[in-house]
Order: sequence, then C-alpha cells, then structure tokens
Amino acid sequence: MGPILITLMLIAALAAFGYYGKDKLNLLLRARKDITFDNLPERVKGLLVYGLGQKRLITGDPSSGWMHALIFWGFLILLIRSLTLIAMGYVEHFHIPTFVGAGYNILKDVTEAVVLVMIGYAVFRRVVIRPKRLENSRDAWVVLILIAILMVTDFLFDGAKFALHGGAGGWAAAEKASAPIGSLMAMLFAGAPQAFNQAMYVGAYWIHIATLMGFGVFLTVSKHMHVITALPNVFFRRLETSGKLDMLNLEDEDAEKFGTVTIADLSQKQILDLYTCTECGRCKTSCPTFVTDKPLSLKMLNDQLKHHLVDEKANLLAGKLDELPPLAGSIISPDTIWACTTCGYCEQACPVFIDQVPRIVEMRQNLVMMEGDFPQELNKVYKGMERNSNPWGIGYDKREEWTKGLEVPVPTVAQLKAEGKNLDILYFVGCMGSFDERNQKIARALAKILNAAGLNFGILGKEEGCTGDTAKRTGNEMLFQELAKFNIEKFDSYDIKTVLTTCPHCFNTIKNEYPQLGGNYKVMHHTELIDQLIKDGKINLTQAFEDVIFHDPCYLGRQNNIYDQPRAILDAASKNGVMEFDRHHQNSFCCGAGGGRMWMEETIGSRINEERVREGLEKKPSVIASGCPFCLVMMKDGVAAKNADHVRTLDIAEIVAESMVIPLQMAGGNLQIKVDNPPTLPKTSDENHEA
Amino acid sequence: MKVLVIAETKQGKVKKGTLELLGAANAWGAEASVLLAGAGVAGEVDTLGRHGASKVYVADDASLGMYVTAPFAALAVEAFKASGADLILFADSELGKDLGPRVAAKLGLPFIPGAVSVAPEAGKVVAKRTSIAGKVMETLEAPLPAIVSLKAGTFEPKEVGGSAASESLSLPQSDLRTIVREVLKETSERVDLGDARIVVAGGRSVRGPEGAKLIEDLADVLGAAVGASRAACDSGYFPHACQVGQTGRTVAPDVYIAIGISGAIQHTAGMTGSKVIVAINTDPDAPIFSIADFGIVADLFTVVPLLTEEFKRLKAGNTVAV
Amino acid sequence: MKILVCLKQVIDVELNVQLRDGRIVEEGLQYAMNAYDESALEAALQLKDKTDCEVVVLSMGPDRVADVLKKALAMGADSAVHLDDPAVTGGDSYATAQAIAAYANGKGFDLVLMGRQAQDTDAAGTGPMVAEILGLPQVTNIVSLEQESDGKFLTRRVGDDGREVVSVDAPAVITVSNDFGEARLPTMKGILGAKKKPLTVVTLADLGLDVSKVGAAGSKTQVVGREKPSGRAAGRKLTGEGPDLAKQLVEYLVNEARVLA
Repeated sequence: MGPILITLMLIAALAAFGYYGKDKLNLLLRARKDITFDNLPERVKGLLVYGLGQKRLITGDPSSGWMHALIFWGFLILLIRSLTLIAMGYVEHFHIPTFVGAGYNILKDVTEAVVLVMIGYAVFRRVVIRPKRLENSRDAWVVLILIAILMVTDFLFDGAKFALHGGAGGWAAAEKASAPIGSLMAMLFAGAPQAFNQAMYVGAYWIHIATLMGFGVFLTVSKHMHVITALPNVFFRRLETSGKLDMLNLEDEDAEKFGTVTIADLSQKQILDLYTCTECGRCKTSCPTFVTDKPLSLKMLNDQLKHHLVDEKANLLAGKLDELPPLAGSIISPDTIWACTTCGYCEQACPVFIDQVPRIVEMRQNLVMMEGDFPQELNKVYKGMERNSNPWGIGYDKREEWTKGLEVPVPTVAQLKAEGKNLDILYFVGCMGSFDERNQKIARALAKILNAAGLNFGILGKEEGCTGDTAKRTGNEMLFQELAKFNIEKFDSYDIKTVLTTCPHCFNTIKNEYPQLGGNYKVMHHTELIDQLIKDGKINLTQAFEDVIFHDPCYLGRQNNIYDQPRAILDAASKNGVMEFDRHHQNSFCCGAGGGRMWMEETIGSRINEERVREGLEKKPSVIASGCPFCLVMMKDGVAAKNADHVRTLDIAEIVAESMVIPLQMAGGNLQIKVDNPPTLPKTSDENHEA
Repeated sequence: MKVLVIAETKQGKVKKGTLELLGAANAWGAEASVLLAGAGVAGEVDTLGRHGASKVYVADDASLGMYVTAPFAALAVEAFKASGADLILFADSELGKDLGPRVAAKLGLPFIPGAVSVAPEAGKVVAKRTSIAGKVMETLEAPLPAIVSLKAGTFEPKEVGGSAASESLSLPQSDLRTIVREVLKETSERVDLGDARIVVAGGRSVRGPEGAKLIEDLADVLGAAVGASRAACDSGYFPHACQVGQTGRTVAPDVYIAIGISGAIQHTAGMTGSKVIVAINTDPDAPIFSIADFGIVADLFTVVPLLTEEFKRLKAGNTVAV
Repeated sequence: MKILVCLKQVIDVELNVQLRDGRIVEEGLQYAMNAYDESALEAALQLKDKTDCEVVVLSMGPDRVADVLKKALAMGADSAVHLDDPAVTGGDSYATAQAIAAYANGKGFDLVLMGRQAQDTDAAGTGPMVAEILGLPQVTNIVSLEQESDGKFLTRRVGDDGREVVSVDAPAVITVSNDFGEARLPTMKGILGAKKKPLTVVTLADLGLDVSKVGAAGSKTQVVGREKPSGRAAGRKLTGEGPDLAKQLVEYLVNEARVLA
C-alpha cells in the first residue's frame, strides 16, 4: 500500500523503541546478576501456566482476570494479523493463502470482537465499578484507547477493502468470504461512494499501522512495559516463597556493605520486577498494612522505585553510584520499610511473580546492620536474643520451666542421652512456648498429646535457642546466623533427625533457612503430626467443640502450604466442622505479628489483629483456632479489644488435648510407636495448592 | 560505741529514713549524734532528740538548701571528727549513694552500701546486703570506724523522748564546680515512671476515662507514677508515655500495683524487676497472679476506691516527710 | 574532648545463681557488660556523635573481659584498655576506684563516665570514690548529658525529690542511670571497624600501682559469707469483700513488705 512509507514508519518505530528501550535494557544489564535458569522444567511450566495460561489473574480476581486473559490471548492471535498488515504495506494483495488463511480470518474477526468487548468492560470497571485497588492513570486510558483504535480501524479497513475489492472476481473476494465481521462491515459500506470507501480503506490502514507502531513505542515508556517483560518475569521468578529468604554471605571480606542502600543495589530480577509491575493493585487487596492504612502499598513501592530508577539513569549508567541517595528516608519512608509483616500475601497475589518481601528485608538489612537505624523496640529484642536467646532477654536457664509439674515429665535430650536412650522426635518448643505463660499451656497440651500417642520425644531444654526468625526478617542477618548456627550445632551434637515445632515461624526457619547453613532435618509442624496421629488411629478425638473458626497462620499456610491438616484436625474435634474466615487459605489475612512486627509498636492506622478478629466475629464463632503462638496472642488481644471475651482463642493442640480420648492401653500397653513412617511433608512450592 | 547519722531533710523536715537510722543506733544502745545540714532545718533538732540523738551538728544555711556533694561531704568529715564516731550511718537514698562513698574515700573508711541488717561488734561491723539482683545475700565485714548505708525499713524509728544538744558547724569553703541550677517540677505533677518508687498501672479493664481516673487517684495519694499496659494505652485510656512492657518502659520500683492487667509476657517483661508486685484482677486465672506477691481477685471499680481511701487515712496519720 | 568510660563485666543477672560453699557456682553462668556502664558508654557516644571527641574504654579482670571491650569498640569507642592483672580480682569499690584513678590520673580526660552502679554488686560506690581520689567534682545518677558552650557539662540527675538540673565543670566524674536510654547495638560496620582499633593490655606495674592497693588486699570491706536469701514467699491471692481486701493489702504493704510509709 506504500512500501516506502511503511518502511519509514518501521524504521521510525524501531528507532524510537530502541531509543527508549535501550536505557531500560542497560539499567537492567548493569544490575547485580541473579537471573538463573536453574530448574528449567519448573520455569517452563510456570511460563505456560502463569504466563500464557494467566492462571493467577483468573483465580485471583475472575472477572478482571478473564478480561485480561482474553485481551492477552487476543493479542497473541492478532500478532499474525499485525504481520500480515505490515506485509500489505509492501504487497497490497497479500493474504495468507489456503484454508489456513480462511480459518485465521474467522478467528481474527472473532478475537477482535472479543477484545473490543473486553475493552468496553475495562472502561466500565474503571468508570463505574472502580475497585479500590485501581487508580485511574493516564497510561491505562492511553492503552485502552490505543487497543480500541487498533480493533476498530482493522474492522473499518476490512470493511472498506471488501466493499472495494471483495465483489465477485475482486482480489479480496476469497478473504471476504472467510471474514464474518469484515464482510458485515462491507455490507455497511456497500452503498457508500467509491471515493469514501477508498479514503476509508487507505485511512483506516495507516491509522492502524501508526497506532500499532505507537503502541510498541508506548510500551517502553509506560507501565505497559509488562507486555514485554511479564513473560520473562514469570519465567525467571523466585521458585521459593518468601518464607525461604536467601542467605547473606557475611564472611565476604570484600563486601563494603550489606543489604540494599541505593537503587543501584537492586538485582536484575528486582529491576525486571519494577518494569513488570502494571499497577494492577492485586497485591493490596488483602495486604494487612494497606488495609489498615499503613504507609505501605506495594504497588506504590514499585512505582516509586521505578520512577527513581529512571530518574537516576544518568548516574547509574555513568557508574556515579556515590551520587545516588539512600532509598530509605529519601525515596522510601522508613515507616514503609518497617510496616511489612512479611505475610507473603502480595507475592501470591501478583499475577507476574513480583517479589516484595526479599526487597524489603534487604532494605532492613542495611538499616540494621550498617546504619544501626531501626525501630527502638527492636533494640531490646536483639539484646535479649543476643544474650539469652529470646526476645525478652529472660535468663536462658528458665527455658524448660514450662515442664515443671507435668504429670508425665518431658525429658531433655541430654537426659535421654545420659540414660543411653534415643529419641525419635525433638520437640523444639520455641521462645513463646518456653517463656510466655499463655503459650506454655500449648507446649503442655502438645506434650500430653505426644505422650498419649506414645511417641518417643524430648526437648533441648536450656540448650534450645531462638531460631532467629525475627532477626532474619527484620534484617539482622548477623544475629540470625549466630542463633541459627547455635541451634544447628546442638541438633547435630545430639544427632537430631526430626524436629517438631508448635510455632510456624520456628518451623519455617528451621525447615527453609537452616539448610542454607548446613542444617538439614525433617521438620514438622504439630498440626501435621497430629493430623497423622489421628489418621493412624494413635489418638482419638471426640467432637467436643463447635463453631470453631480457623485462622491460617501465614508461615504455615501461604509460606509453607499447610492448609488441610489443621482443618482436618478441627473437623475431627468439632460437631459442625471447621468454619472459615471470608479470607482464608492463600487469601488469608495476616494477624499482624509476622516479620518482627510482633515486637514493634503498631502506631499507624488501625490495628491489623482487630481487623482480622472483626472479620472472624462476623461468623459468630465460639472459638478462634490457630496454630501459631504469635497469631494466638494477636487474636486474644483482638478479641479483648472487640469486647468479645466469650470467644475463646485456642491453639489446635489445646483443642486436641481437650477433645482427646485417652486410650485404655496407655496404662500398660504397647507404647512403642513407629516413627520410621512419619507424615510426609508437602513441598514448599506454591504449585501444590494452585495446580 | 558512737554512731553518726547523716540526716536528710525535705522542706525543712527530717525524713523518715533518718529517724530509722536513729532507730538503729537506739537498738544497739549506741550514743547517737547527727549531722543536720540544710536550709531552715535547725528546728528539727528537737525531733532528732526525741528519736534518740544526743548531739546534733547543725549547718543551717540558705546555700545548703539544695544538696550538692562537696559542701555536704566537707560537713560530714567535720561532724565525724567532732563526734569521734565509730560508725557513720547513711540512708540508702540517692543522697546516701552520692555522699556515702565520697565521704568514705575522703576519710579512707570502709563503706558498706545498702545493708539490710547490721550488727556492730567489737572493733568491726558485720552487715548483710543483697547482690546480683537480689539473688544472693552477702555478709560483709569491715573494721571500725566504717560507713554503712541502710535500706529503708531496716530499722523502725522510735521516739525515746530525749533531747539533743546542738552545735553549729562552720560553713565549708564554697566549691562552685558543681551547681544545681534547678529541681524540675514534673510537668505532669507526677513522678517519672523510671524514677518512681511506686508504680500504679492500669490495663484494658479500666474500660474508659472513669476507670483510668481511679488508677490516677490511687497513684496520687501514694505519690506514685502511673503505668499502663499497651492495650490500655492503645485504647487511649492512658498516654503512651505510661506504657510499661516489652515495647514500653522497663521499671523496677519498690512496689508495682497492676490493676486490671492480665499479665501477658509483653507487659511483665517491663516490670518483673519490681520488688513487690500487687495484682488486682477479676480473673483468678490471670497470669499476673503467678508473679504477684499479693493478689486480690476483685473488681477494680470496687476495690481501688477503697484502697485510695485507706491510703488517704494512713497518710493523714503520718506527720514525717518521706 | 577526651572521655574515659569504665566498663565492668558482670554476671548476667537474668540467670539463676547457685552457691556452693559460699561461692558462686560459675558453671552455666554467662557474663555481660554492666547495663549501667552500657548507658554510660551510650552517653559518651552521644557526645561523640555531636562533637569531636575521643572515647577510651577501660575494664579490668581476666581474659573474658576483652569481650566487653571489643563490644564497646564495635559500638563506637576509639580505643580500649584492659587492666589484666591477677591482683585486681576480689576488690571492693574502693580498691576498684584506686585502680581506675591510677589509670585516669594525668591522662587529660575531661570526663570519667561509668554506670551509677554495677548490676552484680549494686554498690554504687566506685564513681564517687574515683572522684574523691582524683579530686574531681561528681554528678551521680544522670539521665541526660550535654556539653555547654563554656565547656561545662549540663546534666539531669535523678535525686530523692525529683530531677535536678546540674552543671559541672570539666574535668568531672559522672555516673549514669540505666534510665539514660537504651544503649545502641554494635552494627556490622562497627564490628568490622573495631578490629582495627587499639585494645591495649596493661598491668598494675604499668600504672605504677602497688598490688596492696587493689583487689582483695586493697579492699576495706571483706565478703565473709554468701547465702541464698529466703526466696520470695509464694504469692497470696485473696478473694472476699472489698473493704476487707483493701485493709489487708495496706496492712501487707506497710507492715509486712514494709515498702510503704
């Protein structure tokens, strides 16, 4: 239709694309390399399921998810149409021959119609529905308009073309026959003057081509860069949940600093994350901090970092890294950095696998380890952990006092070893179970259950130390590694193989993070073990409870994919089965205590735990059950704040201990229970519950 | 046996701690003299005499209105020399902690701080005191003459009905290296949490401003600081500056009265160092009772006003400065 | 400005303490920087944050004492001195003050800072004694510290009847309350930097101090026995009528616990 013009337009578009895209590519290439092709099958699978398959978009928010998926798949289909249109610039009569072309024509027309309808729905959403997570941005409107123009001009172009050349014997007759909407348009144009149709034919074509080129260039300068980067971002995603944070090599003699200080410290994947964020806001929907009005919106964080990255591109590309301002304070408010509970909601909600928690923890690492600048409440916590290996700084020698007065004494591994006995399970009590009066009851309840099941277990007692979860997630990697190494040394000195925890934070840390320091154990949460004991008939429960609602602890559910076992136990212990919060399973709403927030004041916005309890009380439960000491404290506090003291807050172990029928053979029967067949543990990957 | 008591005064009145020291001297049958230094204090010689002092060395001057180490140390040395005492007694107060060791070093005498029992023997003094946060009771011995400071309440003040001769001491040379510019009025009228000997703390069960007022009234009659649990501060019943606990202040007063506080570890982490813990709570299973020396299972709205009345009555019958 | 901060390594008072034959059982114990001294170091470091200032830390005792000195260097002190001499063990406040004074004397310190007391002995004697031996003015139990333009130090101290604003000429000895504010934690940067800072070991001979002046020999008081105090009696929990409960509580506080007037 105009080989010279189309060539010029292509050159111009490519030049502009290159011009705007080059800097972004260079900013990506200069960043710290962390992009990896390891576990290729998993990555390819992810690309298919989450990238091409759009799975999280659809499951996360079905209406807008389907809308996006249809537009996305439409674009894939219409790529071919775009190429043929460009080809027409050189050879006006170009079309895909044979039945392939005919089939494609039908598909293309239907697709364009669907895309157009979806654009209409998108406009409706932005104008009428207005979901809280969306802000109307210029970029969004530009893109919607550009796509609408592309669809409409293509229909107009086809219509005019078929009106002009689609008659019997015309060169486009065959094409017209296979293009349902194009031929419909041709009927509309049939009565129009020849000159009008000619103008429409040429005009629609060039407007379409120009819009197409413009769209391509617009991608590089707008949030719609995700069209280019989303698939790579899904492919290169972190294969672990943020429950498994990377280990920082503190022995690195050349390291001048630890953690993220300036924008230059972000890794390649983290830069790709910034490019990929489309500001869809799914990360905010059940973000405990956003919902309770803390100054942390992860979408905003991405946005701020992305703009800062582009603003500083001259310094970054010239290597003038000293000119860059520290992120904390000048770009990102410290309140934002410290607000995160590391619950992982945002990460599982993100359709394109943007990592949030590691980036926040890395900023904390710098503030804590290099600057000594952190919420003052943590000072006492760190000192307590350093000296007595618990956040309150209570004497380490009081760690086993919870066992005092138990009917069946709980032996320490040291005692067992002295008596020449082995143990099957090490019960790792954790700081809360050891020192907090409320949580000591849970430790005692679990001891009762383990004894009833005839399990051969012991505790470390005074030799147990804090796992370091709080230290790790608040950025004190140095303290974390000290604490972790201490425990690993103890475990190994007693040749411990299986570790049982009541605290999901201990569970997560030992299971996911100790291996990085050389500690590899089979780690079980008590809900996994109890579930197995019930299934194996080792303990029997009566339905002693009713109206029990279960709160998913983040570090059990989202971060470690344990959803079914606690529910199975509660089903067995309650008359009417377990009740659910509105937000449950992977959409569960954090209690507010993770990521070290347990130890900090919550002074901004409303309280997260009260929001969660409010949600639960709507279901009129008699018991709010949890499987996490932190959640329990938060729920208990929330219930008191809501003046709902008639609602009990209990750990699953307590519910089980209260519901348990003590078998008669306990008295003198066969107590030796095999643990060579302990419950199989689920994989950490979030594939399991999503697949 | 001769004992020199270093008196402390407040607004011209001898403090109870000083009378306790005279009570110690009486109990030992020792001859007691007193250093009475301050501004407008000369009238207290009679009180001291009634409590068993036979001689009072008086330094009454406007310049001694506020305690400063140097002049008081010089006067103590002078009084020691004049009295020929075998034992100098201080109260284990801030003044005693500041002045006692200074005077000991000045005179080259042994110093036993914070004794909870003292027995002077021939040529030596044997005293008991706690160390390592109250976990060990030590017995210390020192040759006479020596200096001992006594914890409050170790001995009882006792009126024996005597009278004391008084002797004026000349004022020491002024040493202007240390100057007390002012004694701060507490902005809130109440003593700071960290400085307080008594803390009265409220929890969420105060349920509102009326409940909080009950806590404050009790604190005021006791001259105590007001503390609070995090939940009570979050609910707005008390200012956040009152918060005691893991994320608030850590306090270790002589008496901690926890009212309507359940005693979660996040709170107790900030107050377990208190010497005596009193708990008032409606829930008999509240964890606070497991660390309380004295617990009352009752509704705070009933029992706290009664307590306030009791203490008011007690205070009305009490004439000496504390 | 030059500041000396005296640091004592104490038994971690959070731990249970066992006695055998009148001696403290060492097994299971751990040691830490005296919290009051930590506050004193924090006070010095806050001055250092604002002005040009050299902070020297001093401790005495066996090899393990090096831990607190290293920690102090990591927190920000410039140099450390370890008086490592077997003769200094077992000293009372006076003997300790002799050693500190012998070190500080003539070195041009504008301030000698230390905690108002040690967590293990709770004696609170050393500071005023050092001041007396050196002939310096003292301010004890401070909760704030700043330097004024005329070189004087302005402090707030907690006295018996409230907080006092006290100014003192340099040089002076100042003891710090644990209510001064939580001491900072060593950062990674600090820990790495501390390895390059001087930690000097000195002996009594280096200070020109006779062994008879320090340790048990130089002490004017002797510990002749240790026992476990009769433990906290099990708490009472009363129920009943309000007026009666109130009376019983007052009776308990006044006459039994004797903590109220």
